[in-house]
Amino acid sequence: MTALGRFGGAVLDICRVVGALTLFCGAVLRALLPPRADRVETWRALHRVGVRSLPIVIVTAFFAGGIAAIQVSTYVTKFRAYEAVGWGFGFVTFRELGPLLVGLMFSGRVGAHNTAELGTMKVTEQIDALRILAIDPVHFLVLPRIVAMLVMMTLLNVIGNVFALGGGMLTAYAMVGVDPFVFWNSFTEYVMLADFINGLVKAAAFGLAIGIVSCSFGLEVRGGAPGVGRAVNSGVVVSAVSIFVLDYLITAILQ
Amino acid sequence: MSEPSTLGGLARELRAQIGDTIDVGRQAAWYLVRGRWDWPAIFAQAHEIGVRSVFFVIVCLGFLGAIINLQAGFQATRIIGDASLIGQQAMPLVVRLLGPTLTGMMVATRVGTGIAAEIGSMVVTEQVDALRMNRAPPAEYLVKPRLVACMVMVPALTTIGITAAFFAGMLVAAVGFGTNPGTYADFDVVVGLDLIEGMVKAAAYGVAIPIIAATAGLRARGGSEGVGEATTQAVVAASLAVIVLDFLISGAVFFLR
Amino acid sequence: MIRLEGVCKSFDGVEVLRDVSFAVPARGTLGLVGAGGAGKSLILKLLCGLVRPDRGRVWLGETELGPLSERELMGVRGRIGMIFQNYALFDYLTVADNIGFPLARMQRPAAEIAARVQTRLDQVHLPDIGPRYPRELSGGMKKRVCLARATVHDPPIMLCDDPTAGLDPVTTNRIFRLLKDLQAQNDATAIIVSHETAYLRPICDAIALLDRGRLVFAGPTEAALQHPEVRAFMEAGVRPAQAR
Ligand SMILES: Nc1ncnc2c1ncn2[C@@H]1O[C@H](COP(=O)(O)OP(=O)(O)O)[C@@H](O)[C@H]1O
Ligand SMILES: [Mg+2]
Repeated sequence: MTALGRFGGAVLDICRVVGALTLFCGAVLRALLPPRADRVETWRALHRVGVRSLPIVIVTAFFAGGIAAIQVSTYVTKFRAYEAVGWGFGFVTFRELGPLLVGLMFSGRVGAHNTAELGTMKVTEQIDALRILAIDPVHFLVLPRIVAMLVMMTLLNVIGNVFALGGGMLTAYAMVGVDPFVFWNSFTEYVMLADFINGLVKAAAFGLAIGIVSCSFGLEVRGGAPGVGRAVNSGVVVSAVSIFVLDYLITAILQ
Repeated sequence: MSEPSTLGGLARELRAQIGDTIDVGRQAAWYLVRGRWDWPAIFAQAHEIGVRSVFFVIVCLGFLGAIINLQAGFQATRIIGDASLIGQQAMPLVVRLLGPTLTGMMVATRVGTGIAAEIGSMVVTEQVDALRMNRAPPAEYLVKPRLVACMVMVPALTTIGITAAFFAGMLVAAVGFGTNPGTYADFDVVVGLDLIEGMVKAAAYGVAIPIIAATAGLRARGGSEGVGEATTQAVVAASLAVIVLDFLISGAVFFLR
Repeated sequence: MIRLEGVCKSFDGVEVLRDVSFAVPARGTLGLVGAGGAGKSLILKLLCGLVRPDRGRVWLGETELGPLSERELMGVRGRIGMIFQNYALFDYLTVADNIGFPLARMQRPAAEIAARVQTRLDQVHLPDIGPRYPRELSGGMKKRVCLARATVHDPPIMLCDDPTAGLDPVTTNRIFRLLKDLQAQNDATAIIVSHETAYLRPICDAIALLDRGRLVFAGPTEAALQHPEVRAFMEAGVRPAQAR
C-alpha cells in the first residue's frame, strides 16, 4: 500500500468509528424518551462498576497525588514558596492529573471489561436471545451500564480526590518536609470550588464517554473470541482519545 | 477467575500477579542474554507496537500539550496578566512527567491489550503448550521479541509524543494567548536532568509494559471470557505500573536535584 | 518406558486426579479411555511436564520429570510427539511452517526441513496444502496436520489426545492407520486417548479406564475386556442397547 492509500484508509477508519458512535448515541438518546432504563439492572450495574473500580481508583489517586506533590515540590523548593504547595498541588491534581489518570484507569478496568462482557454476549448470541424475548438490549444492557459509569466515575472522582490529597500530603511531608498543617492551610485557602467542580465535570464527561464507547464496541463485535480481543483493544483506544478530546474541550469552555 | 472485590482480595490477587510477573521477567531477562535473536519477529513486533501506535500517541499527546498550555495560560493571564511565559512553565513538566507517563499509559492501553489478547488467545487454544513442546519457551519465543521492540519503541514514541505536545501547545499559546512562538520555544528551561528523567521513565515503561501484559496473557484461563479478563488485567496492571514507576523515579530524581 | 506412580492433581481445591499409577513398556500402545472430564488430557500433559503433579512421580524412560526445571524439560519434550485435543496449530503460521516448527526450533537446515515436511504431507494425504493457513482447513485436515507436526521429528514417544474427535468414519480409519504406520516407522511408544473403542481394541496392547480422576483398571487388552466396567465402557459405543 502507498503512504497515501494508508492515510486514506486511516481517515476512513476514523470516519467509520465516529459514524458508528454517532448512530449509537442516537439509539441511546431515543431510548431516553421516555427514560426506560431497567431499574434492577441499573442497581446491579452501579454496584458492579463501583466494586470493580474502587480499589484501583484509590491506589491510582494516591499515587497521582504523590506524583503531583513531587512535581509541585520541585517548583516550590526552587522558589522557596512552601506555603504554595497545597495550592499548586490542588490545582494540578483536582483539575488535570486526578480526573485524567482515574479516567484512563477506569477505562481500562471498567470500560474494557464491559466491552469484553457485551462482546462475549454478542458472539454467543445472548443478545439475539434477549431480542427474541422482546427485551430491548439498549434499555436492558446499555442504559444501565452508561448510567452506572457516569454516576460511579463522578463519585469515584470525589473519593479519588480525598486519597490524592492524602498521597500528596504524605509525599510532600516525606520529601520536602512540608508540615501537613501548612499543606492543609494552603490547600484550603487557595483551592477553590471552581477547581473541584472543573474536575468533577471532567470526570462525569469521561464516565459518559467510556460508557458509550465501551458499550458500542462491545455490541459491534464480530468473529468469535479473537473478535472480542480486537474490540476491547479498539474500545480502550477510542476511549482514551475521547478522554483527551473532552478534557481539552471542557478546559477551554469552563474558564 | 474470581473477582477481587475487596482491598484484601485485590492484595492477594496482586501478590500472585506480581509473583508471576517477576517470574516471567526473570525468564525473559535470561533469554535476552542467552536466547536466540529472532530478528523477523522483533521487526514485526516493532512495527505493530511502534509504527502502528504513532498516530494514536500523536493525537493524545497533542491534545495533552494543548490542555496544559490552556490551563497554564488561563492561570497566567488571571494572576500575572501575561501569558508570554507559559511555554517555559509547561515544557519541563511535559518533558519529564506528562510526556513519558501519558505516552506510557497510552502504550499500556493500546499495546498492553494487544499483547495480552494475542498471547491469551494462544494460551486458551493450547498453542502455548504446543510451543513448550517444541523447544520454544514462551519467554523466549513470545515475550522476548515484544520486550526488545518495546524497549526501543517506547522511548521513540515518547520523543514523538513530547514533540506533538510541544507543537500543539505552541499553537494553543499562539492562537489563544498571543504568545510569540519564539518566546514559547525557549529550550533553555529544559535542563539535561529533565531529559534524562523523561527518558529513564520511558525506558522503564518499555521494560515493564510488555512483561506485565505478557504475564496477564500467559495467566489466561478458559475461553473467550478468559481472554477478555486477561486483556483487562493487562491494561490495569500496566497502567498502574506506569504510575508507580513514575512516582518512584520522580522521587529519586527529586533527591538528585 | 512411560511410568506414572501415585499421581495426584487438584485445581482450586478440586481433586482432578487421584492416585493414578500405570506403565507402558517400550514400543507398547496404551488405549486410555474414560468419560469426558475424567482427566485423560491432564494425564498426557503430566507426561510431558506441561503440568506438574501435586504428588507422585512421572518417568519417561530413565528420566524422572519431577526434579527437572522448565529448561531441562525442553530437552525431554523433544522426544515426545503430542497431538493436542483441539489441534493447537499456530494460526499465524502456514501449514508447512507449522509442521516444520519442531525442526526449525532444532535449527535444522531449511532444505532438510522442507523435504521432511513434504514427506509428512504426502503421508497424511494432503500433499498440496503446505502454503495454506490452519483456519482454511476442515477438522479432519487439521487433525492430520497436527499428526504430521507431532511426528515430523521422529519422536520415540507419541501422545495422541482424541486424534479422531468429530471425524467421519473414513477419515477416522485413515488416521488410526497412519498412527500405527508412523509408530511402527519410529519404533515408538504410544498412548492413544479415544472414544472410538471399536478402532482402539485391535491396535492397543493395553487399555486403561479412567473414571472421574481415578484409575479403574489398567492392563493388557484381553484382561481389560474381562473387566466388567471396562467391557461395559468399551462396548457401549459398539452395541449401545446391550451394554445398558
Ligand atoms: N489447567 C486447568 N485448570 C483447572 N482445571 C483443569 C485444568 N486442566 C484440567 N482441569 C480439570 O480437570 C478435569 C479433567 O480434565 P481433562 O483432562 O481435560 O478431561 P478429559 O480429557 O478426560 O475430558 C476437568 O474437570 C477440568 O475442568
Ligand atoms: Mg480431553
